[in-house]
Amino acid sequence: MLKVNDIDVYYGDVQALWDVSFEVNEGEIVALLGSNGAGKTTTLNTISGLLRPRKGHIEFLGQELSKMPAHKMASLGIAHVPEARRLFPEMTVKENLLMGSLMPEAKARREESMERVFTIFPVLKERAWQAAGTLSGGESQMLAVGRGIMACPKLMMMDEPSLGLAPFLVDEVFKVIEQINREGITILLVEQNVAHALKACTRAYVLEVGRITLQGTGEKLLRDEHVKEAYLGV
Amino acid sequence: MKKVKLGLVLGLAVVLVAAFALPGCVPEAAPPVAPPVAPPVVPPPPAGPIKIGINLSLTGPKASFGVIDRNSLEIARAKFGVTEIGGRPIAFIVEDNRGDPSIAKSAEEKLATLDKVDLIIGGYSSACGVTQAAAANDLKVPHILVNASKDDITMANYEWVFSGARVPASHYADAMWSFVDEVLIPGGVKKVALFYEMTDWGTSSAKGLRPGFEKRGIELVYDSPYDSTATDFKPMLTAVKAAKPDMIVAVSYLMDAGLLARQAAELRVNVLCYMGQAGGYTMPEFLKLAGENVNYTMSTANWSRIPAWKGEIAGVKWTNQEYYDAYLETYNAEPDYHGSQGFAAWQIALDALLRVDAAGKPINRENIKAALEETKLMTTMGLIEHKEWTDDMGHHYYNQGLPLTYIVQWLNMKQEIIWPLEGKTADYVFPVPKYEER
Amino acid sequence: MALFGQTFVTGILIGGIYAVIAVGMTLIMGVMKIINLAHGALMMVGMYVCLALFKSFGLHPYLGMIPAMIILFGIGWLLQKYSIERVFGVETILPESQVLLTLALGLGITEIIRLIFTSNYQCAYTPFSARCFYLGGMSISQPYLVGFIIAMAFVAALHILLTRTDLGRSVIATAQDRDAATYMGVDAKRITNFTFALGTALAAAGGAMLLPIFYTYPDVWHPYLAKCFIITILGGMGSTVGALSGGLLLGVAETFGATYWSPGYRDVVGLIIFVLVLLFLPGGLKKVIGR
Repeated sequence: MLKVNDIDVYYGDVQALWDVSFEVNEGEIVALLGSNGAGKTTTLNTISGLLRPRKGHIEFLGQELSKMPAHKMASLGIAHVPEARRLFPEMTVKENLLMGSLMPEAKARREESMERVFTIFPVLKERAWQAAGTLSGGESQMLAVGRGIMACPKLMMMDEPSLGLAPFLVDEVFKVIEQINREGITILLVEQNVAHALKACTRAYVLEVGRITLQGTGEKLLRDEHVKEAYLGV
Repeated sequence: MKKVKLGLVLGLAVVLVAAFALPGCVPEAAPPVAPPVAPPVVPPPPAGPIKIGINLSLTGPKASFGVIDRNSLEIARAKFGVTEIGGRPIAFIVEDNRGDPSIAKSAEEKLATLDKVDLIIGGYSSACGVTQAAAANDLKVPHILVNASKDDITMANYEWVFSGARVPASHYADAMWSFVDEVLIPGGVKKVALFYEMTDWGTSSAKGLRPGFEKRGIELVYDSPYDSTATDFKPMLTAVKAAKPDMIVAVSYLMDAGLLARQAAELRVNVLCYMGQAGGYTMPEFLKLAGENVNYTMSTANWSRIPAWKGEIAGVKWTNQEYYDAYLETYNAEPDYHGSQGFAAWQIALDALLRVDAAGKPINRENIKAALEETKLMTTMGLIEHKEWTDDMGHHYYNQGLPLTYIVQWLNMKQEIIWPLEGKTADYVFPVPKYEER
Repeated sequence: MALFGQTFVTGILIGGIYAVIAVGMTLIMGVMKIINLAHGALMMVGMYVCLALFKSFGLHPYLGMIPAMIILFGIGWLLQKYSIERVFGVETILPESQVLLTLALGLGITEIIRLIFTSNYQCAYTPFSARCFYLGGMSISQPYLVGFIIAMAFVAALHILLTRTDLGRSVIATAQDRDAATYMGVDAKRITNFTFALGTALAAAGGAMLLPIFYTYPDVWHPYLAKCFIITILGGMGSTVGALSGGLLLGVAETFGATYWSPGYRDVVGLIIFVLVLLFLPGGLKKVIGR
């Protein structure tokens, strides 16, 4: 479904990614793991079109993404649930959700999607008329994911969905991710919470200082010595 | 980047031109300036042309006044037909000061230093007249004022500055006081509201008016300056109405006079008499701006076409009425006192130039100045003498004459002379009918 | 009492027209974080479009408002796309270069208008301009009232646009988080152009409402630009309801100042409000009334 082929990305003159390649197949949950500054968010922003690769290709359902303007990605069926949620703080919860469904296909199913989101996250229904800026951390994350669901995407890219959440909420979030995936949305997940991510994912890639250093199924990486030492603190 | 911006500016210009260059919306073109005067002279003139600088507000808020001045100067120039004196052609160099005192000053300096003119005629608004007179005096070039009426200009002992036919602001009301004494006070006027535009002319006029009311025991129930470029006078008029005056005395330029007349009618600020202090209230455009609301408005005026002033300059006979007729015919509009002062300014200038030449002296700044000091000439504004004298208010003037003043009233959308009675063209209407009964 | 009532009515009516001009400004300033010093000049261009249509086709300024808004929408779009946007995000020595650019644009536009129309004062005076009716000793001018009603309609329409439609929500979302809006599929550049153009069209509408009441000349915009700033600061940036209440409040305050204090000081009232709000209510009315 998504193929990232040998991309190099720079911030000005500073190189952030070297020869990054990976692949996401339909129906999978693919995790992109790594520590702070490894280049995970950079990778997602490159797929989203906010950054441009200087070398390499990105292909989604057979279409080349690396030259396409950023705002076109949503219409192709890619939803980006960004790092730190990036909600619209002065808009209400409901307006934030509506913003998630601007594309014609999603717009046609707006009511239905809204119900779906409220079923998954009942708390959002209670808070529907509240400004997004007044939500708690967990609620904000739910709203960010809910906004992604509203887009009825083919691929959802989630950037650190568990960041800053209390442990019981982290479990909650991963349950939701698996649920969404079961409903037919392919997921590309970026996480620092390696243990949780590896348990949830089909396959995973490890990014270190801008390069892919390891890849494999979740189970395989969970047993990997290097992963254990560097990320699982064993 | 540069290219882009240039492109942008050009693009914008194209858009704007396309948007506006519709037929009929082109601004009124300036009336044709009289054809160049210098006829082909066989031997080259010994000292080049006699250069006359004209420094007036020809565009901008005060443009109507500057244009009427320039038109009248051109009528005078054509009337007397003098195109050369002593073998030297007369050339006019016209500068537009846009009614801005700082531009007026630099225009004056440009005329004096760059063009090296022999004489400057100009100054509509007092604010411009102040800077122009100071510059002319510093640069030692004789200057004849046209309208700029602030008293201080001729009280400053500027030896190079001459009042011409203008009336000092505090004397605009000379005719009004006899009208007040003989008609208004017997008619029940006890309370007056005074408002005036807040620059030099308005404030100096107000300063001249207050003691006159005080002396007559008339109470000033409202007294305030206002910004003549403001667009909404309703708050002021509301306060005036609440003060319940019997009479309004207003010192206004043109656009503000128009809005004031309209908004006073809207708010029904009924008084026995609305008396403007010349300025915008005597201008033909006042009618265009205020429509039927001009009716019954009175104004002091510095000129009337009725008095039979006449005389002869350079062998050409003229009368007061002829100037009026010529203006009406040429520009299809009635002139007012501003224009008459413009006409008179050229009469005074031409008279001085001819006297210098007649005395066998070269025409230069020094000699023109000396001739202007001796001016004693009949003009469309009456007899003008440049004298040093003191008035009953204690103002000490230099190079100042004192033309007669009048009162006009708009009746049936026409300006009529109503005072003094011997010069009247119609009977005055006082007290004026209420707005709701018109 | 009649004095108080008359002053209040005049203030409210003129305040409504201020609000339309200011709502365009607050949109541009609050939503796009652009301090647009050309806003007043663009309002003036709107006045001249109406004036030209009035003089050539006898089109009443209230009708001329529609073409004027369309033309100014276009001009606003082009200005944003080809000049202001270029300066946005470009690293320059002065972070304020965008402000300076709008100032230059404003002055440039003024000179172009001066070139075409000269500096002369011009008006679109119709018999309707002076018509009014009387209510308990107060006079209510019809053109003021019509201007006020149109103004209210525009503010209401804009408020609905911003809160009830996807387009409007995209405008607000872009203001709050440009990147996040892009993730949602919003073409942020286009939305920015649209917002600037819409704000400019609203300024033109305000100008068209002023024309039958007053008159115009190329520098007519200076006091209105100042009023827009005062209203935007008073109302809170980016808030339509704030701009509306700010406009009405300024109109009333100015009118009371001119009536009870002195007409010469009417603009001082606005500046005093400006300073007081900055000192004591930094978020503006928006903070008090929600949004």
